[in-house]
Amino acid sequence: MRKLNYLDAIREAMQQCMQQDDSVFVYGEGIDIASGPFGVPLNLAHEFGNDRIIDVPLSEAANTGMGIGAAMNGMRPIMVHFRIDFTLLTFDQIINQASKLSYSFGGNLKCPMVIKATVGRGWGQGPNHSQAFHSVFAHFPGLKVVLPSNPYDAKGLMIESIQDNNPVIFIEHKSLFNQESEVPKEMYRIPLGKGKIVREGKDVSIVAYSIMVHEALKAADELAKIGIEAEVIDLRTSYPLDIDIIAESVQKTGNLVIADVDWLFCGITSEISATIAEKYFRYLKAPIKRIGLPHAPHPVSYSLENLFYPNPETIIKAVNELIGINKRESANIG
Amino acid sequence: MNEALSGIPHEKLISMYELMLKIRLAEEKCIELNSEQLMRSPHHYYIGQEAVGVGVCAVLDREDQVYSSHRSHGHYLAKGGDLNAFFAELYCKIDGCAKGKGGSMHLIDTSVGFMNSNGIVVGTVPMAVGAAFAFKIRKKLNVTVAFFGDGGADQGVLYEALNYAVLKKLPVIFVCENNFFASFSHVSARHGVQDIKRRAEGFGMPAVKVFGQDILEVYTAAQKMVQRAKKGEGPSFIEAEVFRFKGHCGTGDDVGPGLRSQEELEIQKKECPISQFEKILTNHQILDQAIIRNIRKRLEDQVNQAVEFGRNSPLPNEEELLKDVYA
Repeated sequence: MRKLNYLDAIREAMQQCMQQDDSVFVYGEGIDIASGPFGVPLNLAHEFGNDRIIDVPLSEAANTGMGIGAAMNGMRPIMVHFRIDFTLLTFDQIINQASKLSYSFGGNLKCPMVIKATVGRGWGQGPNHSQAFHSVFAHFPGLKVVLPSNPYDAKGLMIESIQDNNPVIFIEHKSLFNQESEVPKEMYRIPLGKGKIVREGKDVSIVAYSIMVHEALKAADELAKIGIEAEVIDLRTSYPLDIDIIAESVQKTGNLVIADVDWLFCGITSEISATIAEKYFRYLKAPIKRIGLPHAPHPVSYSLENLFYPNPETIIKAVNELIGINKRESANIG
Repeated sequence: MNEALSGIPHEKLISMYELMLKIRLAEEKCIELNSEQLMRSPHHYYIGQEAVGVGVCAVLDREDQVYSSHRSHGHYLAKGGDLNAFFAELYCKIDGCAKGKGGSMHLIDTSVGFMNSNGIVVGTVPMAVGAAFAFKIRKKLNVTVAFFGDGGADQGVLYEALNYAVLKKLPVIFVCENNFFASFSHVSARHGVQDIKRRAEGFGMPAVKVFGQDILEVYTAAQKMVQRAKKGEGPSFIEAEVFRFKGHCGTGDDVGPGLRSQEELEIQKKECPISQFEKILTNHQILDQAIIRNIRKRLEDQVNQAVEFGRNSPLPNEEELLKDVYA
């Protein structure tokens, strides 16, 4: 099958949705030119014109509200942010308005809108260009939050996000842009709220988001060499959260490691841990391990970046600690 | 004023009078029933400002859309929002326009183009711009109106929205009801230059300041702005100076918290938009006391019936709690 990279897969999803449905339009700062935000809407302006691929002022809050107003009137806007950090300028519109539009007006309004933004990592992108807000957005009822880890998922999840009747936050990861995978040419949808087992194993469940799925797979390769079979789950969305796929895996393995691209404190890893502990405590052989960012802003210096971001070794260490505990416990019981 | 009057058909003038009175009577009923504490959400009364909402909405078609603020009762009723659903919403009932989930600050009636009202100052203004954008894309010859107050003029997102509307020549009428207070803070404590209209002009759109107690002045300005928007000439701005006869929120007035003196309020109340308009219409023999009594009686009956409807409607049940979170 044909291969595409992550960016091209997302672009193709938007392009096909625009070809199929003239209510879909894309807007963002500088997106109509070839070198727009990381090149994503490249060439789409030539095909669809500037009424549907729209450059806008640096007015993130009003731009968001504008999308909501259009969405209320039958359009399906895709708002593009260069960096997800900029969505903080739009929280009134996303949280106070878009997320509550359906509920607070008794189901009289809907907001079929996609807000697409990029998470950065490394190369000194620092405190305002590296944050990940999938935990924050997941906190607010009314939103759906998507973080694809590979081109195939990115296309299917983007098509689903565009066709969903609710506001969807679609979060790309910059470190994944050059990833390639097989991507069908035709349109296909991947439901929001369904995780995927990307590697099967019986000893430990590693659930991960976005770039951390790849780090977990690397860790799993290494662990296999010492006889530990890790099951790796790509959760794909932080809301809806596929807690069932995690529970089923933990029932099998008894061990859970959660690896995220966000801060640990009050992050999605906290939510997953709490839910598994509340509902499925009986499956656990050992305490849950969480991997994510320490409680500090994203540093610029590469010496600090290396300490800040978790990597396959971090995951391997966590798994070894877990399995070690289990072995001790098994020995005690035995 | 007489010139303006001569241009408007008599039925239209009477319907504008009726609508203002309907809003006034509906809100006075809310105040009368306040002690029962059965209408439980913050009410921001429009009493004193009725001429703005009614004057602007009188030039709109059904498909034109209105985006309102927290002070939404008047805009909702002026655009033709259903009176039964209004009271049912205030009573937090299932037959309310938002099924009792939104209350006073989330009134809606999409069937008449009343699209949003809101607890966040200027929160809906960008939506009005987006709706106008959708109209333009779909080649619909309609306009949107964004209502906000002088407090809204303090918000940065307003200026983002003004700029975008001018940039894309969108059919939006921005209507700033300057009642001189943002909650409890006077405009002199907030604005370096007390001329909101000039700010809009700076963005490159025509802007006009009107005396908002005078419905004919409002109507005439709005008519001009709506006509040019429908001709594709882009957005415009109306600053209407108005007096709120009640306070920011609830049944009290501004005298209690010491924002205005009783004397000042009494002088302002002489500028009641309804009684002033009533005088004009009787002077022109469009209305007489008998007709006025009939109108009032009919509207009082409507309000009483709507109150009964609201009271008798059931409360939302448990099934509603998690419904509508997602569309």
